[in-house]
Amino acid sequence: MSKYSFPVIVALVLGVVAYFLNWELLLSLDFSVVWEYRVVLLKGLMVTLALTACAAVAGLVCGTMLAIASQTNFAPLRWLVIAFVEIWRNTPLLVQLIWIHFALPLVTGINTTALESGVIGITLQAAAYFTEIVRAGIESVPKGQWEAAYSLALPARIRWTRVILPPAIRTMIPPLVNLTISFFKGTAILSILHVSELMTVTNRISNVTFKPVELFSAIALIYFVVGIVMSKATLRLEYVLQNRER
Amino acid sequence: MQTSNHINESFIACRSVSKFFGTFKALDDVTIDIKQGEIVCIVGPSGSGKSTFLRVLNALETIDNGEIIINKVRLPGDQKDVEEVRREVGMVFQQFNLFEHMSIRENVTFAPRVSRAVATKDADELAETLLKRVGIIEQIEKYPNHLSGGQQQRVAIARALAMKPQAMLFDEPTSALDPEMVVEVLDVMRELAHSGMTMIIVTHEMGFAKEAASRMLFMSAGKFLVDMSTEQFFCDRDHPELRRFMSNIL
Repeated sequence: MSKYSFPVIVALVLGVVAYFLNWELLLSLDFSVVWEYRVVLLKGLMVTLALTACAAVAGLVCGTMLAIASQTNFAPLRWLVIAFVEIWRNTPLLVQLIWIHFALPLVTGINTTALESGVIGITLQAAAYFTEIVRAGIESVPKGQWEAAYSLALPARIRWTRVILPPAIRTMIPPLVNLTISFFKGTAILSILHVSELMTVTNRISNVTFKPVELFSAIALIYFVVGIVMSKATLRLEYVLQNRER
Repeated sequence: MQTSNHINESFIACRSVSKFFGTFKALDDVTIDIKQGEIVCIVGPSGSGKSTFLRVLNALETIDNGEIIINKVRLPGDQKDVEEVRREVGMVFQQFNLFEHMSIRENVTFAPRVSRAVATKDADELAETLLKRVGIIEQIEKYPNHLSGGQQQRVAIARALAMKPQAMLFDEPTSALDPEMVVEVLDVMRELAHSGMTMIIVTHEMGFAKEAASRMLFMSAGKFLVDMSTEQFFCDRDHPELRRFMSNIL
């Protein structure tokens, strides 16, 4: 192996890739369409972020309640929680969304708008996943913390909110953010219901402008930037939390 | 009214208390009375039920048989009774179990504020007094992770004392400590014993037991085989099992 082998291999690979690229199209790309439709795209991004926030907040609240319910000694309640979690975790989001939007109205007679169906679907699925994370977080709190809380006669509500959940939430932050990023990306699936989030909007623009490469490249970049900001911000948050107590 | 007379005499009364873990009998028909002001040290081989006995007194374990009367409250009882007992009986754990996400001040003031409805200002004053007493007032704004094991255990004692309990339970309070830190914790406990606090201590520190305890219990296989005054206990060489145990640890 000479010291030139690496650059040579890279050059070869790039050459092969370049050979198969459609240069005619690449050179004719016109990204001004992205700027032209910036307001619509931005609105789509706002809807995407709102859906993500909805999934994260409602999911976390429901998930926490379900996780606490799963710790009770009352077996039927535990089974109910397990059934809910397993059903929503083990069916595809796409199937859930279509079921909620098209089958549920037939079963219940209640019609939901696309946005409502989307919100219900993503929130319930988030709740199921969050339940598992919160449950694992609660179980990661050492037994001694529970016993100290018991032996000091702390009321149940205080025991949960002040003793068990704070350290549990600390360990939950990384998986919770990963999941939130997953749901942020998952909102694109809601475009199947035409929920006016970023993916739906981009599809529409693409259909009238015939510029799919520019538009979908642009939103891929947008998804990437938002996703990476979220995960880096969490690392920072974890770091701050850790240093506060050490 | 015979029983109530009886209850008045002893602060803690156990009647035929049994506790099973599966088929393992951790406490075997234990009947014992402990009076206000007694300093009781419990010794015995590991797995003999010493910790279980303490935990049962704090309602951290339920009992399968018999009854326990602590300060006129009967166990097993409902949640209210359990909390009543826990307010009157403080517990110090082998692993300290401080609340890691709270400062030392919060650790000590938290329970009195929420379980005893003590005003924040009063709880703060009490915490400062107690932390002075156990010698870690300088660390009051720090978090448990900043402190050594011995310091953490002293905070744990202060935390339990902040509830103004009538009795304190110590579950091997020095077993998780490095040798040089054992002394500082034992000093605090010795001082507490002199103050007249009712104490039940599971320990392997025979030197401490010999000078601080008023009564010694030797436990084996879920039973109290020996129950004597401290002077008697350290002279007694008749009991075969006790003799074997003592020769192993002394």
